[in-house]
Amino acid sequence: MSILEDISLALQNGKRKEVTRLVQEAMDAGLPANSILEEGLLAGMSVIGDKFTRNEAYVPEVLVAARCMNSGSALLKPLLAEDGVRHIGKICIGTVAGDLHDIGKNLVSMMMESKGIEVVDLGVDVPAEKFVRCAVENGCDIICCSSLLTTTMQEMSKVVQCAVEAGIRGRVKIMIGGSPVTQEFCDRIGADYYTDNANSAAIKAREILTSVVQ
Amino acid sequence: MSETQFSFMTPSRGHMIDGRFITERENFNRLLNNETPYWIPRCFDMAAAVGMGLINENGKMGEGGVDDYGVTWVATESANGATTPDPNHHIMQCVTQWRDVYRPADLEAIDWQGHAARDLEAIDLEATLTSYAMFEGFFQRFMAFEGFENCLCDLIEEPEECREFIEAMCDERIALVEKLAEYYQPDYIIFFDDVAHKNGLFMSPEIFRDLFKPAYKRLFDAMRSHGILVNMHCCGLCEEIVPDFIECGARMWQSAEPVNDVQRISREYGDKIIIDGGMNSHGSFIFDTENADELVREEARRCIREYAPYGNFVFGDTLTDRHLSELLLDEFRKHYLTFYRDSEV
Repeated sequence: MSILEDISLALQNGKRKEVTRLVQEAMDAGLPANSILEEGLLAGMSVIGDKFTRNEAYVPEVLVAARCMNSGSALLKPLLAEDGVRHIGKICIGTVAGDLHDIGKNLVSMMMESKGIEVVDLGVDVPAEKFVRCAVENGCDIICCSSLLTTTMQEMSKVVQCAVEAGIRGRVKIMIGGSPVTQEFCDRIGADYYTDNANSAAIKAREILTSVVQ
Repeated sequence: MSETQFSFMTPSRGHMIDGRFITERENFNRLLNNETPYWIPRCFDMAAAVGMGLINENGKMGEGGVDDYGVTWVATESANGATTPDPNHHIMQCVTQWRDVYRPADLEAIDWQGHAARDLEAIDLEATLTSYAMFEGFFQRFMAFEGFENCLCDLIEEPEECREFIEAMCDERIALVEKLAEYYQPDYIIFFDDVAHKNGLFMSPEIFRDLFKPAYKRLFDAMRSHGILVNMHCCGLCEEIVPDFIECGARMWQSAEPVNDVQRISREYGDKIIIDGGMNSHGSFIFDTENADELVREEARRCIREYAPYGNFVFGDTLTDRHLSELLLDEFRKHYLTFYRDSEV
């Protein structure tokens, strides 16, 4: 088994120290940082993400794997910058105004990062205007909104409206998710995409961003 | 909130059925004995909540603040004043710190006798049941202490520390059960522990069974040893561990959201578990304003149609929107008394 496969496997098993050690070993052996990231860390996260979608892995396994990825990618960061490796795109994410729940939003953030996407995390209780202002100021390709309450999900339609008013609707996609959110609701408020779990959200975002790049 | 806002929670004593007054208690006992009830019970009709506010488990409704365990809660208008742990303020970062931060509530500081006398005075105990809401189960309090991410990672990275913390919380809950039994003797205790989300469990069933289930069993045994029924509250898709709830001694399952195959559970375990809820609180009536009134009425009819035939069903109406709540209840009222004699819904 190659060291990149070892990194992937150690990450899937949530072995943070082992991931850090193996990443360092791979770096010392002169492997390109991008390969270590793509074929080691992100490959492992992809396996965990797919298992999560199939209900074969649970949130704790995803979180622990994400912590492994963060430890490994922290080592790689200077090399990636030197090599000019870039993210495939940028998104901003937050839980909508009036809602303080952060687990879903955080999970999506981690999954997005594990797909090579740069994430601007706006936190919780985020007003519609702030989502749009952030997308404009940071050049985000996608706005991601999370809501856990039936009373706050309507805030998502405000985000869509604000984006229309700001004139960015043509270039910025809006993705929504959260416990009470459905495809029917997404269609009704004119958002672009609904996904029912964090991994599907990241896969969809990557799909959008790679098609934008192409 | 004013008392009128809680009018839908005022318990009933019972109903005249075929010329005889049947109490809510008598009707509920038929469910317990696996007999067809006279009418479809409704949680807020059949039982009076007692002991509310004895312990500050999650801040003050509408205000938030620090609870009796040191956790800071924030109230939001969008949740009608319900509180959630302050996501920016956790009292521990890792479960290894639990011994330094966990202080059980001071049960001896409570005027149990005085509270119980006031609470029980207005309740006709012959007719109406009593329930105590034990908010913040082991998983919920764990998360309140250190947030979702740390808590869920600790379940994998520090299982032995988690086990000891959970067992310590269980000791405190058992001490509370002893007090409740002595001063209130409620008919059932609702144990709130949302270990699931809409797509599944927050943790693997194996972790639940290893770390949480033994404490559930110990707590539920303590309740049952005093003749108190266990009502396990768990939202989300948790049907995989409903048999575990039953094994631990739960006699009721609250919320029982329809992301679960509630009918299958009733078919397979209907003689062991009472379904208290069953409603889809995330139905399209939430956002389809044009059709919301009819949609929410249909949701009441769906619950009755799908769950009541099994004879183990308690209607649980819990919607945030006041108008929709009233319509839901109004529709339920059209059918509940006659359903078991004329099942057209």
